[in-house]
Amino acid sequence: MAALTQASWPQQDLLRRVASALNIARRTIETLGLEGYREAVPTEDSFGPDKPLAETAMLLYVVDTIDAPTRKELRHGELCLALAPLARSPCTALAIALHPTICFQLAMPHILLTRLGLEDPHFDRGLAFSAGSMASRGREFLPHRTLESCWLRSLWSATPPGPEFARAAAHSVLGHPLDLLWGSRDDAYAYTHTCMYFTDFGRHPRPLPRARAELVAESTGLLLRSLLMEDFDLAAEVLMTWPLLAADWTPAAAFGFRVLAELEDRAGYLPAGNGVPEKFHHLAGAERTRYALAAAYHTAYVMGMLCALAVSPGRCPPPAIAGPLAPVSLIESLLGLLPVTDTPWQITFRNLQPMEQQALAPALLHLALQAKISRHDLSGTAGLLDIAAQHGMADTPVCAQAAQLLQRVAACAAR
Amino acid sequence: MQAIRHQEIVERFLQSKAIDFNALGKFVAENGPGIAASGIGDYGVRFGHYNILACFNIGPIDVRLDQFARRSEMAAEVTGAREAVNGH
Repeated sequence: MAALTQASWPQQDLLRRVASALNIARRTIETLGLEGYREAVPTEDSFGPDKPLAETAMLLYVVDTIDAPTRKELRHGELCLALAPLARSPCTALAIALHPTICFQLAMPHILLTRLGLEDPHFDRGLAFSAGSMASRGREFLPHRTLESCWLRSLWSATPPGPEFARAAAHSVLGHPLDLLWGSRDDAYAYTHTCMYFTDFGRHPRPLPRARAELVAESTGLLLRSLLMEDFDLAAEVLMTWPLLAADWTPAAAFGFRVLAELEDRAGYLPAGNGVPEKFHHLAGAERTRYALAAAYHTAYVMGMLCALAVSPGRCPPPAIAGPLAPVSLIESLLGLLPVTDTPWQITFRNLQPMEQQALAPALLHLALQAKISRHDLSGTAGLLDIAAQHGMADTPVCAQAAQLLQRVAACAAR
Repeated sequence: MQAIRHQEIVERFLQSKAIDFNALGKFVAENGPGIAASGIGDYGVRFGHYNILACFNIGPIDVRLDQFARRSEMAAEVTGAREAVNGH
């Protein structure tokens, strides 16, 4: 790790991580770009080529915000050229013709490559035909999917999104508080993707459906829960919230970035979860490579996007964690409420400077709260809320939702 | 409450006669050479000043090393590098 003496995380380190993600992207489209990943017996791990191609296009779109000379060093243009024929394959053109209701989603790589300067008028005419057909609006979408369609249509037509865009954002999880205690992974991903589409991956700051501070506080709760559950894919997507919203990096967010960066350095790439999938060890040769990339590329991409966004001025995480210092006794007390394990967040925490640890009391409180609630330890939850109130740390969405949880359960018990 | 001393634990354990030392000796005599030659784990009996341990398996020499090796293999496949891991 670079010395933590600068005000911002070292640019060269961020760019190194972007380069690593682009390297994995090259391997991914070479290996999975034609057929995706399918097993002999279809499982939930299987996917078609459209998924990695679309996500590769998103990565390239985000990296495009970096200055041109650096992009050239990263061989960004070469990867765009490699992606183009795959993104505009006859199969994709046919799928767009057959399914007008999702034509923009299917054409996402084409649309993003066009925005990056690689046009294809012939393919575009096919998309226009599908987008203008009678059935093109005939599917029921969740709000974040509507937002996605509006965003893609806006990019394709090079016009600002209309009122439907703002309505979809207001009705999405961006417009209402997330369930930070028991919410599903799907809702969490809806939240992160809504942030991406609503801000056009940080390119267009817009008036948010709710106060930025509120969204940052919720993102903090979501981030810490992700770290606790060792879901590093979700943690990296949540961390994108800070550069996407141009929000100041909080101590918890700075800590979260450090956890992921150190894990990426230890593992050689950022894994989706802790440990290696058991299945990997039963495969060999090309099938092993395919499986490894299928399992790992998405999280590696997200880390690449996060670092590319962080390169922009004013959006870089700090190298050191700074904030109001809690008493050491409080830190020790909160740590004592969490089982000691070798989970990545604890490995990083143990190696922090003492003052950095003391700046993370609210984060430790959140981790302890989430741990108690996940085990239905309501008595423990109440005890932690008491500690939070005593130390002025209760003014967070997680604490508020925990308090309301206890109220609801108490009301049940009183019946 | 005053903590019980290790010495007292051992004395109480011996007085309980929970272990038949004659049978234990017979077991070690019959199986010891084979276990020693197997090179797998660490089975057997240890007597010490503070403890008596019997028929234990320490397990892999270092679980962290085993996980490290597995993670390196995965990283090599993902990144295409031979030595993908910088260090643990």
